[in-house]
Amino acid sequence: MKLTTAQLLISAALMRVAFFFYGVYQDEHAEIRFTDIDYFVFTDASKFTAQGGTPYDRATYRYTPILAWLLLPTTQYFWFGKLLFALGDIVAGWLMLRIFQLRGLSNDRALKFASVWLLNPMVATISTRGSSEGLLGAMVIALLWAIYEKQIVLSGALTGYAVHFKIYPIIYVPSILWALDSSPSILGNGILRWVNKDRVKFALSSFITFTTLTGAMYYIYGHPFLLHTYLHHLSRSDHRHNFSPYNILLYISASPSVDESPYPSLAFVPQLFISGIFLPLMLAKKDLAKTMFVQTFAFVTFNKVCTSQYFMWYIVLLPFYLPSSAMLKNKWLGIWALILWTLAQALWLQQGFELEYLGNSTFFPGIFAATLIFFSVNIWILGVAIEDI
Amino acid sequence: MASIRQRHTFIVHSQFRDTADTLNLSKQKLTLNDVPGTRQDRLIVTTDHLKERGILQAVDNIRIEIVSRENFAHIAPFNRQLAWGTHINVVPTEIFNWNGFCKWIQSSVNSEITCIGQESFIEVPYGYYLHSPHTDSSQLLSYIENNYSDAEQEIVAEMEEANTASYISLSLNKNSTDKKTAGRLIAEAYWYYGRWTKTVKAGGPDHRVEVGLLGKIADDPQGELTYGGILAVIGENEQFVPTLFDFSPRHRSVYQPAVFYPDFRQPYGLHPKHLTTVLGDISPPRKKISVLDVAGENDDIDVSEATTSCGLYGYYVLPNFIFVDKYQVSDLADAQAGGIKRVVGIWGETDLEIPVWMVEKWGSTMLVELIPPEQPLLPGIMQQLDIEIPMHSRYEVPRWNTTVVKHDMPWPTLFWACNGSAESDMTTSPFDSNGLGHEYLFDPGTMFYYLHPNQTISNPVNKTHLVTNLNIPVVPLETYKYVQPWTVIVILLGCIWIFYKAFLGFRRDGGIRNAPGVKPDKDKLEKKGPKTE
Repeated sequence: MKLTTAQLLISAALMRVAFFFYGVYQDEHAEIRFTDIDYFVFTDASKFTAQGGTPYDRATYRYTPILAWLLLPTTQYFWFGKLLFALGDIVAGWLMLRIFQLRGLSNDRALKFASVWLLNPMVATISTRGSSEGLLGAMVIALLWAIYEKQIVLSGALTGYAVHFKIYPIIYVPSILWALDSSPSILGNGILRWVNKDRVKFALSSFITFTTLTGAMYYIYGHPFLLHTYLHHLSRSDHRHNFSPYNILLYISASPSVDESPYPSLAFVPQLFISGIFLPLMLAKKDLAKTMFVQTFAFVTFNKVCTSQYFMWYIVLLPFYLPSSAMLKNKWLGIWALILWTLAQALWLQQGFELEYLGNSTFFPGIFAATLIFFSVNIWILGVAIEDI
Repeated sequence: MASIRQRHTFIVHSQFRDTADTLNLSKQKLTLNDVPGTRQDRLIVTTDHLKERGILQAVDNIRIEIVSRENFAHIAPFNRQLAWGTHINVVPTEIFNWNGFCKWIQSSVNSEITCIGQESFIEVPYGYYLHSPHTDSSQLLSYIENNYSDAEQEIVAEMEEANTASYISLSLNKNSTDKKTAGRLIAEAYWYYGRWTKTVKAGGPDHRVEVGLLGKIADDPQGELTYGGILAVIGENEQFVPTLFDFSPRHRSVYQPAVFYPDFRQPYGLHPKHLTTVLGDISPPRKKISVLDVAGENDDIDVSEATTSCGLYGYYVLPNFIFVDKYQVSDLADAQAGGIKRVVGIWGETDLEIPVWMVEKWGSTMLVELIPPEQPLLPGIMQQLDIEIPMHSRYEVPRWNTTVVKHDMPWPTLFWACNGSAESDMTTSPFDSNGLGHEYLFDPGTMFYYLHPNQTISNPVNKTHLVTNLNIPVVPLETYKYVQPWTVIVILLGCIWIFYKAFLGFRRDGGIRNAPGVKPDKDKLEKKGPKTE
């Protein structure tokens, strides 16, 4: 079946339009809302900003003010945000195809793998529910695309912007710096040969963009901006149950029943080392896009908090890993990976439901075991992917 | 005016007869013998009689109340309803030592009350408020007892008796408009029923002791109450003096039968829905008088004087293990759903994410205006109102040998709040100290009609009063000895797997870089030859 680029993009758009209208219906008529609570947080924050206040007037707004600014039209047209996020999905898909082209993948195969993102119902649902991950996906693909187009300064700027938005894209900086081998050195020979024009351009443009944006936001919004957008994520005391393998450990160790423990800080070590140092060093020179995929996958898997929205962070890069992956060459490997990944989530969801809606204390062994199982499945898949690159 | 005024009021049944057996009054004392009835004691003292004035000088207005958890009823005219527990309401002066205030509370009211400083209190429109589930009044009574420089035996004995009271209050309002009580310490105790055998002695020269045995003579639901009976000032009167007086009470129970019962929808998890069912005649206690009703009798009636308006309200006291999401409740009010007309206010700790051990305040309170049923009441048919408030529990502290933490929550107070009509001049009831409380969330002059809590369902076996249980699932602490090592082991094994797989790839490709001559960012299949797909 021959699919054209236009057809793929249009199908992806139509799918999102359909989900959007279904969402409007479910919001009106069902008990459980389709629209994510986060969307109300964003739109409330925009509303407060429009009224002359700050986005932080809205409790639990933990993002850059730029997001609230981008969503200012929602004060007039409430659904504008969802439109923007769904558009982000499509832009990410389109840039993905451009990257495939630059990497020399045939058009047929490129379209097939890009549909893993574009025609993925999970992805479409998350954007049409009003989560901002689609926008983030567009930023990440854009910064990668700029590297392939040799627009180094642009890539740096986009990276600075992405880090300002969500912090975690900072793990891409070592990968990109490590991979930018092919331009002339600035600082002569020896070890300093490493400092070449591209690397300097990238480092400077990302640094300047990030500090300008962050500085500007701090200037306008002051300490609440630093507190809610950045510091909160570092010292997170929200221990509600989630997919992370550290979940139960951190719940108990954060409580006054237990002496102060080093776990909250220690948990950063494997995560940052593996996703920010080890994987870039080992793999970035071989294949930047695939490295970014496994980095993000590792970052999310080892994170202290993990919810299903975080999966979007690596699913947007999955199409780059798939074309030569062992999971496709060996069909059963791929099928088992998908089944186990889904089953492990279902197990957790079942235990989580028992707790949240029936009040049964499934923390141990239920949720604890489910998070470790999910972690193990993810680690297994991650290991296979790493060996593949 | 005497600097100590002591008053005992007994509300007795209309068939009570004053005989020589039951009452014996002499110049020095009054003896009561097995007199059945409701009782309220009031002690109003100028502050120079107190040994310790410290904290009381540092406040403009303070009220400490302790409401029993044992079953009791609100007998007229003592109809004001309040959640069980200890309530501390305060309007501090400009510079206030909160830490010192907390220490005073723990030494004078109840040492078990959690109070660290200002952060333990919640800020409400009229001042600061702290609620605690403790109902033991013995420490407060000792404080009052020990504080009188006169050390009058009689007062000491009275205080000990108050241990059995259903309700105790201690208040001081420097800026009260009531000259009789402004700047004076008022101690009050209420027993809903007893068979009273006691002796009341005359006081000293500056100490007035009054005893009254009263009954309700007349009751205008939209106007005044008339009480009458016999009164005696011990030491002055050798015989009882008949008395009859009118007053406009601030607090009443609704006259029509309207009963409510709250509970959580079962089953519930971490997001319990609090459902209060109201049954009966849920029509406002005061109706608008239309001009047509009175035209012809008196053509001079001014329409604006004849109308009063009432709103139906629910007041919730939420200890910090449970909370409401103010956005969620506002959305309900916008949609006029769940029985909620509007959210008047939510005060206190409203954070949506933190666990209970990180909350400094004792909790929060919420006042919502409710939507009374529309349909007119037909004879024999009850009205029903369902008030559903979605709530959320906070993560609890893990503890040994248990997977659930059991909590007690007070029932909400449901009432009609009616603005005063021009006929009544709102004289303060002699039985109500008009101290700080939920009344201050309304305009002065508002009259309250409380709906009846359904006490028969409440807990007839255990005799506790207006309690809703909430169970919060928690992780038992003994699991920590498994959680710790297993988490660490699994994470470490994961890391080892990653390093191992990376090493395998490294060894296969002979290094970090690709073979020279090949661009590093091409798809691997391209360089290996024919495609396999």
